[in-house]
Amino acid sequence: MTCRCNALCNCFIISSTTTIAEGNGSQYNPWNFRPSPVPNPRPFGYADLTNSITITPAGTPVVIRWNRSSDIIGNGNNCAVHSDGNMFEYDASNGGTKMVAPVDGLYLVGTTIGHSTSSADLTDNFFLRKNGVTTICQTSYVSNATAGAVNQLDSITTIQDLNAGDYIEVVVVRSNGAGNFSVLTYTSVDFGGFAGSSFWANWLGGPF
Amino acid sequence: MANCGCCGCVFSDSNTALIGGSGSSDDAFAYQIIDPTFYANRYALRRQKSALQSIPNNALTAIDFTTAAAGSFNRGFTFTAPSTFVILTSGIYIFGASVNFETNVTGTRYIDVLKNGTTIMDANESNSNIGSHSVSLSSTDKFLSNDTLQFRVLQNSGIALNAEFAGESSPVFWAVYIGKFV
Repeated sequence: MTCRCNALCNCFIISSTTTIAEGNGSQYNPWNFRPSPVPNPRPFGYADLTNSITITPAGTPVVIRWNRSSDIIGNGNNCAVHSDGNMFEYDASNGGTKMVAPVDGLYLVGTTIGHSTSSADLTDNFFLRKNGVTTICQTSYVSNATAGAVNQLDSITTIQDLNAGDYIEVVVVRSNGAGNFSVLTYTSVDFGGFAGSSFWANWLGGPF
Repeated sequence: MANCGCCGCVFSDSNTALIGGSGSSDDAFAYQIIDPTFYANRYALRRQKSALQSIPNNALTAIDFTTAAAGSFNRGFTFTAPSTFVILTSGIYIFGASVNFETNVTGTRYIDVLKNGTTIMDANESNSNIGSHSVSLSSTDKFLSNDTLQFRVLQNSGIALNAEFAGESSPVFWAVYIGKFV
């Protein structure tokens, strides 16, 4: 009996037993044994923010540092561990800023940023930046005196071809206006939610 | 049970029948994830416009992607100038777009992704304020081969505003194939 996905792997099963046959057409034939196309471990990373960060100077980009040592994993706040060591660059003392691609390929990357209360007119831009230079996706958060003080969450997602060693960071800048704002943890946003600032990436395929 | 060593198919202990469901080759998703060509050739598109585009006041305008900036790629889609992306393989896709609008304090900024010239698949809108303004969206849905997608923007500042060219982040449209739907 042949494996239903024979066209892909060419394995077959001896009809009278469950033993996988050796020889031509079986998995023991090196020619037919195809290594997994998925890197092991599969590149993946997720980080969230456990300390709010105040963004003060207008026009000065701030690279978000995730999971800082003063409030790390296992703090009882339902803040899961996300420095899985595979993609997210992290150390216990300094936290980390970068998702580093371990292999060439196509990646899905995104971030959610929680913005603090402000009743002033200001515009905050946040973006994903590749290799410290290239902005690959961005969006704006606006507050104004008319609308009043309202916390807000915004999210951006994109895809990107990365080479091994390329890295992605989240950068926030108060681009204009009066007043300060903070990038918030999940404990700081409205409704007691669990969806505060976070940063994640997934390998999708490749190399191309 | 016995597992096929190279594709992950599962066989029962008592006979050679394939087991249906998760992990077997009868499961469409499992069949898909073991396809070596699936990861190596995943359909994906990222198109970045290489120049600014003037957007008239209060008129939905498709972004003209005729000129692509560095970093753009296309694997498994067709692009029909000036603004239409054609899906060649039916399936589930994740897609997204973003754009920066020129500085202006008046009105709102809106973006959407339009399917087949009629159906808005996702949209985002926000108030303008001081400074240039960026709007982004992402979503997922099922598509059929030959479905078309366009990225449209709208602003009602009262005057024409530029959709700015900003490196690899504006304007940009992207889509990636996730898998088949059964």
